This record gives sequence, structure tokens and C-alpha cells, in this order.
Amino acid sequence: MVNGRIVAGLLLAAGLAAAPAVLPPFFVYLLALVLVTGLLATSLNLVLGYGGLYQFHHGVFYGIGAYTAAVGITRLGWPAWLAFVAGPVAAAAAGLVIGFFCVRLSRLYFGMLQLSLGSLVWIVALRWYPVTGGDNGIHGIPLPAALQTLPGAYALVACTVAASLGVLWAVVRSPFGLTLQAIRDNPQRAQVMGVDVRAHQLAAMVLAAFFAGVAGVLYVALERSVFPNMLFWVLSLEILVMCLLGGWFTFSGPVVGAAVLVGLRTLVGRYTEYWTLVLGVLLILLIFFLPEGIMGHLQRRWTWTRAPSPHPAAAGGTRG
Amino acid sequence: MAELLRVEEVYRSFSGFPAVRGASLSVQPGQVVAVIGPNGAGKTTLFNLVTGVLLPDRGRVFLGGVDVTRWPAHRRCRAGLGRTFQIANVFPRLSVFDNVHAACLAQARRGFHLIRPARRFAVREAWEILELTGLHPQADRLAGTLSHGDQRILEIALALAARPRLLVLDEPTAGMSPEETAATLQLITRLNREAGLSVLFCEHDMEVVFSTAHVVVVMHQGRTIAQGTPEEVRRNPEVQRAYLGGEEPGPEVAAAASPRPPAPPLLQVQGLNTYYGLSHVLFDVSLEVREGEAVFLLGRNGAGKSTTLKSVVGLVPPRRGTVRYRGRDLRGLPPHLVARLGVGYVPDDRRIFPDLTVEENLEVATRGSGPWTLDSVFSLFPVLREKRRHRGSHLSGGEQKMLAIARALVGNPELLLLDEPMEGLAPLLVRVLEERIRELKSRGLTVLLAEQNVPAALRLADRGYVIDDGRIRFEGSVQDLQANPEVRQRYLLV
Repeated sequence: MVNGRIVAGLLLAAGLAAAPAVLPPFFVYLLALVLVTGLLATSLNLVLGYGGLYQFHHGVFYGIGAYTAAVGITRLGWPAWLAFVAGPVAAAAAGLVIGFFCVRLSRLYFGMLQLSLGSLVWIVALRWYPVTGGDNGIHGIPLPAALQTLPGAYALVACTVAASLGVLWAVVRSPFGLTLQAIRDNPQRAQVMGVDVRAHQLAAMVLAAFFAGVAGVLYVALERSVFPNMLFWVLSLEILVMCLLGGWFTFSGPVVGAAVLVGLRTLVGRYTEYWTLVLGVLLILLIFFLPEGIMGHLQRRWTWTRAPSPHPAAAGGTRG
Repeated sequence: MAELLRVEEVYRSFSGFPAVRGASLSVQPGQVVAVIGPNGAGKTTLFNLVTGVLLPDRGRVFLGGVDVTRWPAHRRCRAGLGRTFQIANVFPRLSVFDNVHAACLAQARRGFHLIRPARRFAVREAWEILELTGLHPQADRLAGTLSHGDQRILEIALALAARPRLLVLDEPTAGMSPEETAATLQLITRLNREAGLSVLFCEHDMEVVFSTAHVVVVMHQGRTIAQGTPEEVRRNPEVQRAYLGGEEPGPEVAAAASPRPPAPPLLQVQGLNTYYGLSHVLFDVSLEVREGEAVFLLGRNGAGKSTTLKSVVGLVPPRRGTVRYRGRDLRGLPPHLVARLGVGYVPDDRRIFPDLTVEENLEVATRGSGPWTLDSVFSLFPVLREKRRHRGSHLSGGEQKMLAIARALVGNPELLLLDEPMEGLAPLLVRVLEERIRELKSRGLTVLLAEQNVPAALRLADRGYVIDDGRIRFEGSVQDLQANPEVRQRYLLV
């Protein structure tokens, strides 16, 4: 059971490590893009699937992370490492501010307020030409030589995404993660159990924003450019679709959803600009036949992915 | 520092309607205090004010001598106040273990621990509570798939995880079988005697109240009108009139009714097999309801009563078997078309429209010309007329139940399927409802009644079925069932 998980994880890691050696460059690039998008979707899923919050404008934090790094390097002359750290921190700070207002509202109102606050950020990026480059964005961002090659950028992306997913996995399994899921299922019940619901939701938003910022910075490392559409609500909708497609009650679902969406856009997009038509049909089929998403469906079948409850004789921890 | 809880003259209104207007009570350490009162008396609102789910408009709440009137619910919980809700209120997508574990982590203030796995903390505590409440064999099941009774017990487990000094229980045994009720009472009594836990609960089952409580508080129209030992309260003539409604009639009332000549069958169910996903719930269930009859379907929680009714109306389509209504095969017919044929269905969980007013709830369901109009259901349930402009979500639990029945009636059904209509109703109202159902029957309405309240069901019905583990175990008249102690004990535990 647990062994199955470890084996699957090791195989996956080996595959990722071997990819640049065996795949043509285009597919290495595509894989890196899938990883970045997958991290973005997984960070959204922390609040959406595990937290039950209608985070409608997650792209904002992705954009803030990317823009902070880009502006830091091109306008402020920061070294790359500083810019890459500042990106996620700025995203988390934005998550704190936006989240502070949003967790005071429930369900749809939460989502609507987030859309409006996020759109404010988007407008700033779109209009503040001297700093953000306006609708042109910022291109040709100078990076250290090691990152200018595809294998270099891929290595950074793969290692950072793996580490970030590892942290998010630990968070989901931690007491915080379990509490978050309890809040998702029944906030009122959680409250009378002594849980400060808003504080947990806010913490989840800050964490999710941080990792969206990490994804944004990785995008800069991969593409060396940023543009205002990264903060536009359409992108946020796409990330949401990735979570639903892959299975928003599973950990790996969003990565799978990201792979499907990025793959479709790139591969089908070569033949027709109407690739969203294929996506639309796929979504309709999914809603009817796999309402819990791809991984949600598979997890129902693959019972080995389910861990049994620990028994005190085996686990023994009473340090609570 | 004598009192554990003191509530001083609290008030609370909802959009102008005063639900609680001047309620006071106190709980001493180690006491079990029961709050009783008619449906809509304000019991649940009072409990919400005590636990901080709602804040009072006026008045004060003290916990262990500290003024907690303005404290939010989570803070009161940490100060030693655990509670359950009237409708099972658990974390449906988490396993039973994770439900209790989350509560233990909240108690241990580990909610913000981010790195080490949750299963490194408070596992033993969670198992202790699972074993204490007898839920440990079901630890790996998803809470949403537990039977109603077990979800209620899980709720108590969640409240216990907070290691409360005072446990507040809102109708803890509502919807439980006699066996589960007994087990729950035993648990409460044990916690009280052995751990000195104080308990504040409200309950309609007077046997539960009088056997468990040290002090009984009576609420009426938002006020606390009497307080005393169970004996004092039982003898109080005002309480008798407003709430208890005298002695219960024996089951022989209905049993004495003469057997009617066989009428043509209205509903015929043959070899029904129903599944929830992969789990097989109903096994070859067959039953028949003839025109003008009242038929009981008795069984414990999780026996398959609700599923049978849902299969009939098409909410959970059966995989095999036939359902015929007036000879017509209902297979594949969606629920709304079944309803239009004249089958009224009252779900056990009320399912009223929370954002519509009482009147609107009824208007959207009105269909056909028949004896049932807004006016006639209002005279059946006068309290609904009083509250016709209130939103559904502002009704008390018992009032929502009445609304659900009224809503089925205004559809002018020929056959009424009632799923546990008595659950959560005050004794007086159970009597009223019994009267009403009997009246409906005498007007020619056919009734299939799924109940756990065995005496009430036997008083109302002519004949019926006992179901257990998804199989029909007994079929016969009320007299047959009364003459068959083995079936009663084995499948109904009475």
C-alpha cells in the first residue's frame, strides 16, 4: 500500500531526471511548462479542493510572483536569486492582503470579491508602463548563464517543483491540512470544535499564494518574459478547470489536469486554433462520466492509494 | 464560583421575529439539565446563544463565572464547551477516524502545525474517543456513509474530543432506534457519573428527559417558564397543557379498527434491488399498498426504509425489480413525473427551500385541484399560517418538518409516502400529527409510513412490513405484529 506509493513516486522522479537526456528539446520544454502549470494548479487546489474556498482569481498571485522577479531584475537591478526569492514573498503578501478581506465573506461572495481585487492588480500591471511595460509586458529578462540553456532552466524547474510539491504534500497531511479539510466539509462544526476558521483559511490562502508565486518565478526562468495576461481572470479560470479536470479532492489531480490542458493547447493548437473546442467537449464528457475528475475516479479504483487509519499500537504518538 | 453556566435574560430576533425573548437558566457542575418545550419554543436558538454560534441581542452568558457573551464559538469551545447539532453535522468527506482526529488536533491546538504528518499527533486520544463511543469498528469509513444514528454518535464524539466541562446536545436521540437511544443515554450518564461532565440537552422524548435529567427547564414562546426537578415539572399543570398533552393512548386504539374489505392495489413493489454505488442496499423488497390503506414500514436506522421510499419515487432508481402505481410501471420515470402521477413524498431530512418564505414553499408545490389548498394546510398546521412570511431557514426543526408535510399535501397526492414524520416533534405535536394523518386517511388518502416510532406507527396503520438489512422480514396486520414478540425484539428491539 504505502510501498505502492513510494514506488510510483520513485519511478516518476527517475522519469523526470532522465527526461532531458531522452526527449527532444521541444518536449523537454513542454514538460517544464506542465510542471510549472501543475505547481500553480496544485497551489490553487490547496484552497479550492482542500479548503473549499472559491478562489476564482488565483492567477493574480502567479502574476505577482512573476512580475516581482521580472521588475526586480530589469528595473531594480537585483541579482536573480534575490528576485526569485522576492517573487513568492510578494505573492504571499498579496495573498495576505486580499485574503484578509475575502475570508470575511462566504462562498460566492468570497469569489466575487477576489475577482474584483484581482482585477485591480491586473489593471495596474496593464497600465503602469514605466514599471510593468504595460500591455507589452517585459521580455528578454537577463538571467545567469546557467539558466539560459534549456537543460539548465529545466533542472531548476524540475527540482523546485518537486520540492514545492513535497512541501505541499506534507502540508496536506499535517494537522493543518486535516483541519483545513474539516473546515471545507463543515465550517460551523469546525468552529464549535474550537477551530479559528478564518485564521486557517487565511493561512491557507497565504501558503497557496506563495507557491503560486514560486510557479510565477519559474515561468520567468523558463520563458524569460512576463505579460499582463498572466493576471487576467481567464487564466485563473483555466487553472480552476485543471483542478476540476484532474480531480479536486485528490493531491495529484491538478498536475494531471495541467498536463491535459497544456498538452491540448500545445499539441492540438498546432493543427487548429479552435483547440478550446476539444477542451469543451472533453469537459462535458468529464462532467457526465467522471464527476470527481480523472484522479478522483482512479483513486476510487486503486484502493492502494488509500492509507488506513493509524492504530495507536503502530503510531503511538501522543505528543498532541 | 459555583455555577458552570449561567444565562441571564437573553434575547435574540431574526428579521424582526423574536425567537428567544427572556430566557435564563443555570447549570451547576456535574448536573444534567434538560430543556423541553414545543417546536419553535426557541430551544435551538438558545443553544446557539450559549455556544456562541449566535450572539444575543441582549442579556449575558457566563461560563465558569466569566462573561463570555461576546466570545466567538471557537473561543467558548476552548473554554470547555462542546456541542452537537440537531441535524447530524459531521465532516462527510473525511473518514470517521479523521473526523475525531481533527477534533483532537483542534483541542491540542495543533491546527497550525504544518510540517510533520497529522498522524504523529493525538492518535491515541482519537482512538480513546472512538472506543469510548463504540465507533472504532467503523474508523475507516467515510463519515457521510454512516447511518443517521451513527452520525449522531460521531457528533457526540467530536464534542467530547474538545474535553469539555459542559456538553451541549441538541436533541441527541432524534431519529435514533431504541437500541441506539439506550446506548447514547448510557454514554451520557456514564460521562456524567464517571467524569463529572455537566450536560445541557434538549429533547422531545420524555422518557429520555425524565430518566436522565437532574433539572428540567421548560421553554415556551422564547421564554423559560418553569424550572425544577423532573417530578415537579411533570406535575406542573401548565406544562402538561402546553407540551405533554396528557397520557399516551395505548396501541389498541387503532388495532380495534375493523379490517376493511380488500381494495384494488395502488402501489405494487416487486423484487426491488437497489444499490448505492457498489453497495447492495435493498434485496428483493416486495410490498403492496391498497387504496385507502395506511401501511407501516418499520425498521431500525439503516435498515432500508428511506431507500425503499426513494426507490419508489425514483430518487434512487432501483437496479432490478418493478414499481407499479395504479398498474403503471414507474421504471425509468424521473421523480417529478412520479410526483405528478399523484405520489407525494416527505423526505426524512425535511429538504425545505431555505430562502423561500413558508407561503412560497407551499405555492411552488401546489398542483392539481383537490381538497388541499394553502388554507386547508394552514388550518392543519396553524403555526405555519402564523409564520407564512418567514423564510424557511428561520423555522425551527419541528416547524420545517410540518412544512415538508404540508408541501407534500398541497400537491394533492393520492398516495403519501412519509419518511419518519414523527422524528423531532414535541409529544403534543406527535399526537396532533397522528390525529391529522388519521384524518387524512379517513378522507381517502393512502399512506405508506416509514417510522421508528413503533407505537405511533402501530396506532395509525392497518398493516405493514418490517424491514431489516434491506430485506422484508415480516408482513402482516398490526395484531399479527403485536402477537409476534420475536419479530419485534429481533428487528425492532421493542
